[in-house]
Amino acid sequence: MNLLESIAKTLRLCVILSVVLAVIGLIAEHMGSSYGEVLTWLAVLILILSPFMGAIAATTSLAYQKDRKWAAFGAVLIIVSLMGMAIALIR
Amino acid sequence: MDPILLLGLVILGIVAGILGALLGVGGGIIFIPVLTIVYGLTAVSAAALSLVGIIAISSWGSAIYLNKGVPNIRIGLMLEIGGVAGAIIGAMIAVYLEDWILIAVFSAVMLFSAYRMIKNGGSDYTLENEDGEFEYNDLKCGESVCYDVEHKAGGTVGSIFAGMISSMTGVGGGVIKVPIMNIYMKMPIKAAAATSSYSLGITAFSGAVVYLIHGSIPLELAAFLIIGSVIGAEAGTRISARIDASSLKKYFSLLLIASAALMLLRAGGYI
Repeated sequence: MNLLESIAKTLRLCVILSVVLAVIGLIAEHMGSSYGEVLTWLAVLILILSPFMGAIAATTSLAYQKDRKWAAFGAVLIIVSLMGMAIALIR
Repeated sequence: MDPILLLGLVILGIVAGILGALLGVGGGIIFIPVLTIVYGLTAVSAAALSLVGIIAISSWGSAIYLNKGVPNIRIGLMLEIGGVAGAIIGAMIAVYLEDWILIAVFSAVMLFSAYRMIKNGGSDYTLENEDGEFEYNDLKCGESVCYDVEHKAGGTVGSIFAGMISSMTGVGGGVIKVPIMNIYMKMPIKAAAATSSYSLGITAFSGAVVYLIHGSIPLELAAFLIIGSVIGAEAGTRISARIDASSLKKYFSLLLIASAALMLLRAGGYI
């Protein structure tokens, strides 16, 4: 599993999905659908999460390559990110 | 909102994406002045929206540069432990701060960005032999370049500050991260800049998610900004491969100084 390729593909996929949902959400809102705002919120969420997904892809690829030291840094980053999201939710 | 203003957000995203790729910035120093002065958003909403735009530019742009092998993903992941922690702290503090404080901090960041653009350059810390811990392909000379990285722990601590500035002001933090990586950690400037571009998104993500949960991101505006930013990032990476943007940096730095002055005047209620 190529490290850089896996991150690049993950980022592209998330951004494309976000843009598609954003466009559909805006059209739905314009047509008066109640789902429009939900889709737009989802689009923003997926885009915001794309770097986090890239970090997961990087950590997974490093672990697969048995690069334990740097995979551990990636794992710590993921844990710190999740803790931050949990704190934001609780507050 | 007026459709013209919504279309303006798409254009703003395109411009920020192109300039971001040409000048090596995340886009926040372009987003924030327009969102506060033209769109009249509060500093918090502008910062939140700016982070969304930065993520769009960083994620799409990084996907292109990653395939060229220049960013140091390992160092990026390590530094972002500090960056993410700082961004979370910064986003939590920002909602309690007065607007003028955030604007003053942002103006200071803009002035520092202008100074760095005028100063230009950056140091190359490459090794003559091939025993470096890391390497990247220098696209200009077509050779593989080896280098070592120093002060890894100190750099991670410094990234906490970069993360706080990023989420409080809505910039990507590259203006602080690149000097940390290049001058303090002795990374070659190309690797430092590319690594910063990649990690901007991770720093921005942690601040943006707090803002999204707190409802500080105007969703409709964010959607239009995302669309424009992705288009701009794609266009910017294509254009930057064809032109030398070094003279553009000097003119852009003058614009940054003017924008910083305008924002300070607005924060003081003079305009």
